[in-house]
Amino acid sequence: MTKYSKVVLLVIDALRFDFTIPVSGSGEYYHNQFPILHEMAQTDHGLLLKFMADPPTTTLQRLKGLTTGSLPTFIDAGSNFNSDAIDEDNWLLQLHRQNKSIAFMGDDTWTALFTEYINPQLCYPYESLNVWDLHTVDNGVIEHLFPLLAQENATQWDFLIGHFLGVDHAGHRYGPNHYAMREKLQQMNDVISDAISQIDDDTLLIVFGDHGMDSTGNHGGDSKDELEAALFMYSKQQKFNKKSNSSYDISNQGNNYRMVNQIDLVSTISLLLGLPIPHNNLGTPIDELFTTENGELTQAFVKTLNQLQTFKSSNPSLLDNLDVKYNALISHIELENVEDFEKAYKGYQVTFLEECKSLWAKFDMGLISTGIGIMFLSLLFIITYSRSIPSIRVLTMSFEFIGSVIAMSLVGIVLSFSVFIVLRPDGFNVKKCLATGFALGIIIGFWAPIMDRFSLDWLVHLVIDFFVYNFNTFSFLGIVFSILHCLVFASNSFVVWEDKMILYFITTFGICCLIHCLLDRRISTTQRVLGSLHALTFLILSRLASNINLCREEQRPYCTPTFTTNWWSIILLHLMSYLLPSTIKYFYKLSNSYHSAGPLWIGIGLKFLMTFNASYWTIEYIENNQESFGINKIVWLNRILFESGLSKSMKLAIARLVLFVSLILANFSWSRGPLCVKLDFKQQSPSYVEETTVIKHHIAKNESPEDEIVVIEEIEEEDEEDEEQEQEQEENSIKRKEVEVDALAPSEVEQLVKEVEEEEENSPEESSVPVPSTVNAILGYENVYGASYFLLVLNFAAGILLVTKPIGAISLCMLLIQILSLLELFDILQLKRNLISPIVLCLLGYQHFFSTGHQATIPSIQWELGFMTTETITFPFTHLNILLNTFGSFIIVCLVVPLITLWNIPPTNRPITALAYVITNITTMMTYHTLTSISSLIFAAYFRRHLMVWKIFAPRFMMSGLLLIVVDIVLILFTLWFGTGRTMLQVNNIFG
Amino acid sequence: MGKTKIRKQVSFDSGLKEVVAEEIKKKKKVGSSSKTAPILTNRILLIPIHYALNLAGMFWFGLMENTQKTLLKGALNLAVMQIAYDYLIVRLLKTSAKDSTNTPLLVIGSIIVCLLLSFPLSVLLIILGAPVTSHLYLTYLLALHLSLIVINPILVVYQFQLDKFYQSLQFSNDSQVFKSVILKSSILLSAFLAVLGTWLGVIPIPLDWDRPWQAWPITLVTGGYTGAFLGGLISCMF
Repeated sequence: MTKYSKVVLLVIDALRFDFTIPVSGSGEYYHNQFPILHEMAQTDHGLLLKFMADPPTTTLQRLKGLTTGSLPTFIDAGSNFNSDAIDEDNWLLQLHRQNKSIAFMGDDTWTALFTEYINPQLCYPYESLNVWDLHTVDNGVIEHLFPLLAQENATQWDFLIGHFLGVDHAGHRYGPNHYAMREKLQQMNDVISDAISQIDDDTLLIVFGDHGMDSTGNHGGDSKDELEAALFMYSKQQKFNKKSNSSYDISNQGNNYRMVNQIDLVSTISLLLGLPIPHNNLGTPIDELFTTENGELTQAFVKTLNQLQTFKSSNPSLLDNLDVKYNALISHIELENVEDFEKAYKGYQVTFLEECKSLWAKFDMGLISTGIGIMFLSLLFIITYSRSIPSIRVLTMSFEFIGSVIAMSLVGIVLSFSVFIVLRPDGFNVKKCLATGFALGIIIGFWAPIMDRFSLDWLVHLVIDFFVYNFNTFSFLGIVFSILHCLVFASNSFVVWEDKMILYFITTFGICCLIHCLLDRRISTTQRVLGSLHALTFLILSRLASNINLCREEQRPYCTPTFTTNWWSIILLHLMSYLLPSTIKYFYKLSNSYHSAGPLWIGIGLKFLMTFNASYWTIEYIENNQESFGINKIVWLNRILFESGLSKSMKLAIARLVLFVSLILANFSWSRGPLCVKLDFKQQSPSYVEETTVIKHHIAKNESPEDEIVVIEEIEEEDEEDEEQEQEQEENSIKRKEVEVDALAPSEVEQLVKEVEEEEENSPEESSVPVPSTVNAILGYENVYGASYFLLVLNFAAGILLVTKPIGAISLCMLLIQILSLLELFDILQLKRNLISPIVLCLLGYQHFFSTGHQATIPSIQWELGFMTTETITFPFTHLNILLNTFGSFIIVCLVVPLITLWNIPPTNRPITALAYVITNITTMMTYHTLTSISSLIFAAYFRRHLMVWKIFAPRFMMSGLLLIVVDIVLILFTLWFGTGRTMLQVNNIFG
Repeated sequence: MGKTKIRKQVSFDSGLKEVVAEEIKKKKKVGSSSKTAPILTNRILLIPIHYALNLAGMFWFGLMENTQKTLLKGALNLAVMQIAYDYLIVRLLKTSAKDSTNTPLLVIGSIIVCLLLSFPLSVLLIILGAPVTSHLYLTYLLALHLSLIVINPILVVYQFQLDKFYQSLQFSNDSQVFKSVILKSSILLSAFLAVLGTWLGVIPIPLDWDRPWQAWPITLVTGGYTGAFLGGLISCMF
C-alpha cells in the first residue's frame, strides 16, 4: 500500500499554530503573515492541523519523537547540545533499508542523528545552534531545495527533508513580536507557495513546526504556546478525507481546532510510503490521510495495532488490562463494524499511550534514598567541620583530610565492588555500586581524622554550645531563614514564588539591621548614622533589584515581566559604567584605601571594561532595532554596519577582549598581589621637636581620614587640653573595636617603631632646633586585606557583567553596592563572626539570580548568550558563557565570603586565626546550599507523583544540584585557594 | 612648652582600659534612669478587646468582598475606639505627671500624628516588599491600621516623650531589652507582636488555594490585629 512515491518534508522550527491561521483584528507581527497554509487547506488537496508536541519542546527531542514515534525522557532536554546518533528504529532507517534516497538540507541536528541514512550527495547540513544568525540556514535550504524540486533532478531522491531555523532564531533573539519575525514568516510563506507550485503529482508535501514558542520566543517547557505547532499537508492529486468544518475552527486563535499528536506523524508516513511502522511507535495514523471507502483507514489502524501489540510483547511491564481491551478490539474486527472498530481502536491507543506515559517516568527509590543518605552525611560532616572543630585545628587537619580521603575512597571502591560481586544487590549495577562506595569512602575519609582526635560526645556538645552561646537575634534570624528556605520546597506555590520569598528574607534582615543600628548603644553616633545609611541603601537597592523579574509561566497573571532590553536599560548601563566605579571609590575612601592599585583597578580597569560592556550591548540593541532607528532604510549605513559583518565582528572582538582581560589578565596581575595602601610623608610646619615618639593606633573610622590610619608621629608638645581631646576621640573609637585591638599585631607595630627610630637616629637630636616634623602614615592600613581582595571580586564581576543582559547587568551593579554596604554593616554591627553573614550573602545570590532574568526552569536558561565569544559551539567558551550567565550572581557572592572577615581589619599577626574564620564562613555558605539542596531533593522525591513535578519540583532540584556543585568549586578553588590564600600571603609578607 | 616628657608607648593599650571603664560607668548611669517603660496599673483592663472586635467586624461586613471600603470603615471605627482606649491608658498610667497632662490634647494629638505617620509607614511597607505599581491605596490603608495599632498607644503611653521611648529601647544586649522592657509593658508587647503578626501574615499569600482572603492585604491586617490582641492577652500572664 504505497500511496505516495515521494515526500517533501519541510520543518519550520518553532512554527506555532497561531502563526498559520488568520487571526482577525490582530496587529501582532506574528499574526496573519503566513496565510498560504490556511488558504490551501480550504481545498480538498490541503490539510492544516494543530500538532501537539510532547515536552520537552527542544528540537533534538522533537526529532527523535518525530522519527521513532516514542516519548522522550525528561532528562534528555539537557542533551540538546550534544546529539548522538539515534539507535532506535525509525522511518529514515526503514527508507534506507529499502534503498530509497533521502535528501537533506538545513539544521545539522538531523545529520547528527541520521547521517548514515542520508544520501551523502544530497546532504547539506548547516550549523544549528547559532541563534544570532537568522538567515544562513534558511538561505542554504532555499538554495538547495528548489533545484532538487525541479523536474530534471526529481529522480535523484525519494524523500526530501528541509529544516528551516529562521523563525526559531528570530523568536529566540527578538521574541515573536518583532518585525524580524514578520519578515521571516513572509519569507516562509513565499518558500512554501513556491514549493507547492513546484512539486509533482505523486509527491506529498508535509510542512510542520517541531514545537511552538512562548511569549518571549523561547521553548523547552510544556506550556500551551510551546506545545502547539502547525502541521500542513498538501498533495496535487490525492484528496484528503477531511472531517466536517467544525473540526477546523479557527475562532479564538484556533483554540478548538482539531489536533493530532506529533508522534502520530510517524505511523502516517510509514503507512503512506508502505514502510513497516517503527517498533517503538506509540502514535496512531492521522485519519485524514486515509480514505474510508475501501477500508484503507481500517487497514491502517489494524497495522498500527499489530505494531503496538509487538511493542507490548517486548515490554512486559505494561499492564494486563490492555490485553482485555485488545481482545475486545479483535472481536470488533471480526464484526467488521468499521465505526465501532475505529472508536474502540482509538480508545485502546489512548489508554496505551497513557499507560506508557505513566510508566515512562520511573523512580529508582533505591538510588534516591542512597542519594539522600549521602547528602545527609555530607551535611553532617560540613556542620561538624564548620562549627565544632576548634578553628585553629581546622587548618592543620585539612591536610590530613587529603590523605585519608584518598585512602578511604579507594577502600570504599574495593569494598563496594566486593559487595557487588558477592551480594549482587537488586537494582544496583556496577557503576552505581562503585559510585556509592566511592561517595561513602570520601565521607568516611573525612570523618576518620576527626573521630581520631575528638570524641563524638564532645563534638555534639560543641555544636550545641555554638548555638547556645552564640545565640543572639541575628543568628536566630539566620536559623529562621535557613528553615524557612528549606520549607519553601514543600509547596509548589512557594517554589514558584521563590523570588518573592527571598526578597522577604532580605528585607527582613535589612530592617533588623536598621533597627539594630538605631538602638544598639554600643555603637557610636557617627557609626550609627553611617550604619543606618548603609542599611537603608541595602534595603532600597534590594527592593529596586527585586523589581526586575522574568515571570515564570505559573506566576502569571499576578506578575508582569520587566526583564526586557529597551533603550533606557542601555542608557542606564552606560551611566552605570561611570556610577559603579565612583560608588566603589566612595566605599574605598571610607576606609581610606583608594590608593595605588585601587584607582588602577576601579577608576581605570573597571570603568573601561564596563564601558566596553555597555558598547557591546548598544551595538546589539541597534542591531535588533534597525527598523525603529530607521537604519535599515539608509542603504549605505546598513551595508557598512550590518551586511559587511562589521557589527558582528565588533561584538565578537569586544566580548573576547573583555572576557580575556577580566578573567585571565586581571586575575593574573591580581595574583601578583596589588595592595591599596600608600606611604604618606607629610611635612608639617616647623615647630619644636620632641623626642617623644608616640605610636598611635587609631581605630577610628569615619572621622577624618588621618584618624583612620596608623600614624607614626613625632608629636610636638601638646597642651593638656589637646591631649584630653585626643584621648576622648580614641576612647570613642576604640571601644567598639576591642576584639580587633586584641587581634592587632604587635610585630608590625614594632617594625614601624624601628623604622621611626632609625629615622630619629639620622636626624640631629638637638631638641631646641626647629626642624620640620614629618608624619609617616600608611594610608589604607586599616582595610589592607579587604581592599585588595575586593579587586578580585571586581575582576570576576566585570566578566559576569558582560555576559548578563543589560537589565540584569544593572541588577548586578546593585548587587556590588549591596555587598559593600553589607560589609560595612557587618563591621559596624559586629556580625563578622555571626551565622547570618554568609546566609545573607547566599540570599543575595538567589535574589540576583532571579533579577538577572533567571528562574528555576529550563526554558529560562539564556542559551543565546553562549554565542557571544564564538560563532559556533566551542567547548569551553560557549559553556563558560552560559555558566557565568546563569550562576553569575552566586559566583560573585561566593567570592565575597572571605570579606566578611577580612573587610576593615588591619594586618594581623595571627593570619591563621583569620583564615580559620574565613573557612568557617565558607563552610557555612556550603552548609546553607547543601541544606537547601537536600530539602529540594527530598521534596522532589516526595512529590514525584505530583502533577507539577516536572514543571516545578524537578527543575528546582536540578538547579540546586548544579548550584551546589558550582558553589563548592568556586568557594574552594577561587575563594579559598586563589583569593584568600594569595591575599593573606601577600599582606603578611609585607607587613610582617 | 619647654618641658619634655618621654612617652614611648603603644597608646591603644591604655585607651582600652579607659574605654572599658567608660562603658561600665555608662551602664550604671543608664540602668538607673530610663531602662523601663512607663508602668501601667491594671493589665487586665488593658487587654485590647476592641482589636479583636474590629477585626471580626471587618470580616463580618465584607472584608473579602469589598476590601477597600471595609478597610477604610474599619480604620475609622478603630480610630474612634482607639480614642477611648487611649483615655483608658492615661487613666491607668502610674506617673505623677498624670494630673498635669492635657489628656484630650494628648489623645487627639496622637491620633492626628498617627494619621500623618501612616504615609511614611506605607513608604516603608513598599520598601519592605509591598507592591509598587498597584494596590497603592490598599497598602496605605494597611499602613493606617498599623499606625493606629502600633504607634498610637506608644505615643500615648510615653506622652510624646519620644526620647524617653528611644532610650528605653536602646540596648547593649537585645534579648535583655526584650525581656526587661518589651515583655514588661503590655503596650510595647502588643505593638511588637502586631508587627510580628503582620510579618507572618505575608506567608499564606502565595499559596495557590485561590481563597478570597488571600488577597492583599487581608492576611497582613489579620496578622497585625491578632498579634496586637494576643500581646495584650499574654502580658497579663507576666
